[in-house]
Amino acid sequence: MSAEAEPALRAVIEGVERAGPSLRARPPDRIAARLAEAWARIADPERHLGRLARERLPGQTGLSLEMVAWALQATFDGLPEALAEAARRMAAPPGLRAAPHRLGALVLAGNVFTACVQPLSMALLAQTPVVAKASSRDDGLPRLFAAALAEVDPELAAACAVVTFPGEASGLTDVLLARASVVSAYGSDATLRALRERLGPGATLIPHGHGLGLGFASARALDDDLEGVARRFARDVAAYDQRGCMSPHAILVEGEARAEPFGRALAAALDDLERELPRGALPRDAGPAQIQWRGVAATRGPLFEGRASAVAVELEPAAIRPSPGYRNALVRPVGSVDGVTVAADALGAHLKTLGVAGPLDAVLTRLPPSVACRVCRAGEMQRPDLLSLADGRLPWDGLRRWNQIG
Amino acid sequence: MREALYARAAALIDGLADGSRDDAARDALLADLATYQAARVPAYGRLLASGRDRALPTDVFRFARVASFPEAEDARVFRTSGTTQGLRGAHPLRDLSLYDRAARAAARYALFPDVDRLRLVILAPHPDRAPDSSLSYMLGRFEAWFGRDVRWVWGDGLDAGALAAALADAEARGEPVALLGTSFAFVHAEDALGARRFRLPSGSRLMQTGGFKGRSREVAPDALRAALRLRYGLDEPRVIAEYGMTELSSQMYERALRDAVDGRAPRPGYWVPGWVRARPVDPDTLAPTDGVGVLRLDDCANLDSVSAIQTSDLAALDGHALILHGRAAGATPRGCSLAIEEALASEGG
Repeated sequence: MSAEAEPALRAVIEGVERAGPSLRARPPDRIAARLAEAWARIADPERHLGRLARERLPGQTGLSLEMVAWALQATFDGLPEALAEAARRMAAPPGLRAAPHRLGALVLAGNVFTACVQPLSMALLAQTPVVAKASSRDDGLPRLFAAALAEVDPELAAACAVVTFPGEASGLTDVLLARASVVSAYGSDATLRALRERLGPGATLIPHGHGLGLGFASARALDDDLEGVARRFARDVAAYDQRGCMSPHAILVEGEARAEPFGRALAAALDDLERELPRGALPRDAGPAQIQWRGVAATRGPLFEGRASAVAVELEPAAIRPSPGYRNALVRPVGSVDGVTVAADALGAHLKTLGVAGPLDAVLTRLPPSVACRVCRAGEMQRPDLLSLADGRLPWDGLRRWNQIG
Repeated sequence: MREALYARAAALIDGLADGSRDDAARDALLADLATYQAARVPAYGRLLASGRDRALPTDVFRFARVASFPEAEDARVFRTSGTTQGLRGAHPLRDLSLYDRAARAAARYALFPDVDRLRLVILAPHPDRAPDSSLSYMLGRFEAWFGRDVRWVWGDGLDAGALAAALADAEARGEPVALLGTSFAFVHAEDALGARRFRLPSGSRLMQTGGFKGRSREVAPDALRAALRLRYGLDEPRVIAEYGMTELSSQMYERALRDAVDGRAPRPGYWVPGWVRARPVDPDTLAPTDGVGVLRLDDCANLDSVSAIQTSDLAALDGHALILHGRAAGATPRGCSLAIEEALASEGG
């Protein structure tokens, strides 16, 4: 940490706070329109910032250009409408008046580059000036957003700053946390615990802990269209190279006899996707985990390997081994949809998304009390929209406060 | 068949104990060992049936019995110190004589090439206190093979007083000493000894092994090495690292000490005994790679378990020497995956 880092961060925070009154004076629907314009500049590959995104993000994220382009499209499709809808839903109920936070701090995720879109948008829609601390290895999209917003609406942009410093620079983190009355943070359980202890009294923490996704394929869905189900789940596995907290690590298949054929089909679909959405280079430090995971799988059952992916089918009862990511998926049979309950309960709060090929209701009604997650169709696991739940909460929970009239 | 393989492995170790190489003989023996072991170790048989030239991942030692003989014939079971999902890896041995032969030959070549016996000060539990530790077992054998006036200074923890007394005695008598222990034990010694410094007699040496595993504060390897040289008054080639693991029967030592004894400029890297094949492999294709890869070790002394071991360590080769690049933290965030692994362990199916 350089000696001038702390005064510089204080200056950034003070600048953002100075923009607070102007932000609070803006109705959320107008903020939504400006945010939509800013994000559109990145979404459009023909515009300067859109080109920059496609040039810079592959190198910064480790994802292939095709994967980056897919992720941008998946994130920005329908975003203007979702922003407008969010603004409507965040409006004050009768008898209440919004009491925006003086300053919000965001500690952004480092594993999925588009994960910044929801918290940045929601903070500003909630009329909260915000300082976002991005991962030092993945600050590309937040910085592009700040640049886009400055082009679209400099006054609004003044209420949003992106900073980057190492997590171990605890002095800088303390400076940021000391001023914020709401902190939305992504990180490990340990990181979140440490942050909670450092917050000032009265400050709100909106925690986004690490997690993973699970899939479930019903017997009927598989009997109707096994290869189609495999193609949809393959897209869920491949998206973001399976590094996201919504990425499925395991897919539960109804009926033991269907597990191996489905595993083979999933592997083939993943290998096909390698042409359309190639995996990024496997980072050096991810290699050992992959090689161990695949090797253990090969001692337990069929292992179907592609050019940059693998599917393990494990029939024997054993604890599910979390995948190392990077397109390594486990297929396990369950006797019935009730098997989802057992697996979901074991994951508890870590289960973020449950992708289903089959009736959603049958799964929803069987979720155990330990779980609050998003249940969606197979193929949509990595395409949450702006209004999707964040860790079982509405995306503006914690950001919105109210003054009561009367 | 086992007797024939045993005899070939023993002869290979004996023949290559002087640092010479016969890679053709080694590779032929490894091929025969793989066939023999695949037929007798179910997990390994399934692994090879998957169709690729794959080594057995060290993780498998946590989940399955890796032995070509029944449990009733276990002479010793070495266990890993780390746990994941509450499981420690186990390496059963029916017969320790091949382990002994390999351990003695490697240590004689790389750690004790210039002395018959010398004082040993050991910063690790005695094998009576840690019967499932392969390191303690090996150090116990060192006592018999290479030791004279041996002091074990780690009981429930470091006995710093005994350590200081043993070293002061060696200094006073002008007798060289070998300090042997784990890296975390040496960190504890650093913390306990304060300002105390030693100037160990010429011919002394220090061998450290293993990581920290949360048992002491973490110290960067270069910083620890520098601190150890300063603390004990040792020249650079006399502080060397050993690389071994529970799942293997052979060990590797940094070649600097041997180089110094041979009158060569000390080179970086670990000496790989001729009866061990070290190959960094590509994690996608499993093919040997010229640069840094995930280290696969094929150990001819692993007769009754599996010779072909896939480690989690990153390494490259410099000729026949091994350049370690550390152990990867893993692909997924560990806080996440550890918590999830623990949660799933309770699911049990």
